[in-house]
Amino acid sequence: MALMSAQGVSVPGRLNDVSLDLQRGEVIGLVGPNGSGKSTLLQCLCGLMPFDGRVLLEGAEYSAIGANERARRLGFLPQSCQSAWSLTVRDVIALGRMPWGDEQSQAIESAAAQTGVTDWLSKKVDHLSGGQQARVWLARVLAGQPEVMLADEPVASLDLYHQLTVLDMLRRYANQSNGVIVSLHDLGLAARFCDRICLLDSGGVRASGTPEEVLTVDNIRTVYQVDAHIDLTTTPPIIFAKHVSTNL
Amino acid sequence: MARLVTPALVMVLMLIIWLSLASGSTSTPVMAGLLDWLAGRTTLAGTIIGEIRLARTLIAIVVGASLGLAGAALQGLLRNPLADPSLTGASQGAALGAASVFYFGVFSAAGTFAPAFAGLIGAGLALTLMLFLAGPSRQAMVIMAGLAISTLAGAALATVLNFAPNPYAMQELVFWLLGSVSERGLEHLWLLVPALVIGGTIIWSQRRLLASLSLGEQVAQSLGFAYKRGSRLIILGTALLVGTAVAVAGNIGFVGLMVPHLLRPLVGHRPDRLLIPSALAGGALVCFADVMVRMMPPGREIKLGVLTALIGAPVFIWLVWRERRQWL
Repeated sequence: MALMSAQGVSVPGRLNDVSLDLQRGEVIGLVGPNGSGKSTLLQCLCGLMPFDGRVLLEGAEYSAIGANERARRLGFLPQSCQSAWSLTVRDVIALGRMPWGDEQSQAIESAAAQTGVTDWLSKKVDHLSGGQQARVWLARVLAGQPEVMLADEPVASLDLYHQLTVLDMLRRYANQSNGVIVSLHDLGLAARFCDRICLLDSGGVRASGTPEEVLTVDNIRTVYQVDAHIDLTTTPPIIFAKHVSTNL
Repeated sequence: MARLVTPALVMVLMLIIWLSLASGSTSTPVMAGLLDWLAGRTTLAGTIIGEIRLARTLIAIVVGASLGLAGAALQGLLRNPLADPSLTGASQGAALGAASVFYFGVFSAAGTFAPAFAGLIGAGLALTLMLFLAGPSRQAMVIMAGLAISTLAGAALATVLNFAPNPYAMQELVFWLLGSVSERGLEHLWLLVPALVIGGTIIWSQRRLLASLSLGEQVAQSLGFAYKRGSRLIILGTALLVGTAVAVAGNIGFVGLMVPHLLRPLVGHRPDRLLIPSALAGGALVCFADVMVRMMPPGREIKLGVLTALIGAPVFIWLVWRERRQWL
């Protein structure tokens, strides 16, 4: 049974009949241009936004699970995160334990170790750099020990080192029999870290499948209006836009 | 250190209560007076301590605690260190509500509870309007929306003053608006204490939501919190606290702004751990300010609200200055 299954998820004017299945151990990449519905889909999957259609967690409807149980099983990493207060890294990570109603230090320290932020636990989160903060936000989600992680452009404003480390952490987390759905702008990173890719365009699924099936010159030309150079046989895979497409 | 904050504040509050009972125009033995009053003996010391100073002290503490707690809850909810009952329109709404009772006799069926009831509705309406106006981008817009709603409530209050039936009524209202805890009796505690208990309990029940809101509404929701319901409860709790405090004591500004701000570093900036210390420190601050009012040379007494504003406004300026430096 799929760990998470979306069936005909629609939001008027924003998402149109999106279906996907997430298996344990899998990373699914959501790609598509700005405004294609990636964030909206993730918010629906997380239960933050009302939608038509069904989302099942191991076969169970959201309404049957309850908000707290869902929060224990689903972790959400929003696109832009900022702490309103000058909290310590430990207190930020501890927020991830909220659905469990505890501040279990073992879970907090394990999440800190997985993301490499152990040395900063007593530091103020606003004193860290953007890349360091990104790891703390990720540790906050990991501390809740969810089965599914929904990450909305977690590497959007990060340098190359942090792009790789954050995605590597998501990959390792999925390998522990969890599932990850991550939205990404960088198609090369998507091809490298994701098992399957869902290409969204104007709120609908344009293509879905392995990187080789989805990331084709034709698909990218239709959706992004650029001609791309694609070589998925190399390690790491290479995808970059050559120029704006002229033959549409 | 965070664990010591509450016990330390309890001790400070006890000291200030003692100081408040001992301060006044005549020197009266506090303990003897208190025992006389408790035993029901009608002595001069018993009357001064029990009927006058104790009432004034307790009212100051409960009003201060309500404002301090309301400030901490609002700042947590709105994720804005500048949120305060008076800067979000709640105080002006409450003042307008209570003034309408004095002038137009609305809610006359509620008797002595009428001003508090009207104050609560005024504060609740002002906060709801402010949240509606601020919209989803609350953190940035809340002060502007609060200013707009304060201005609206202020204009309505000015209209009420303008059409005052006689100059004495106007003077009475203006003096009440300046904020004071003198010349109030123990019966006012029947309004203030239940409001503090109920409002405080409501806010306390949402402390985990306040903590999770540190990372924004989406994170709070994804952690399983019903944000809409929780935020409405916090607004209701705040309106209860501010509405009754303003209805009894008038405008005592800046307490809700200053107190959480000064305490925040001591509790590791955690919004959930800020609530009880803010209530204790708010009570201590307003009571201490009232002792200072009583220590001023005899003559025309400075109003408590004027004093807190004189202390609070420079603190506010300093806060704005510090916030500005963060953005540079």
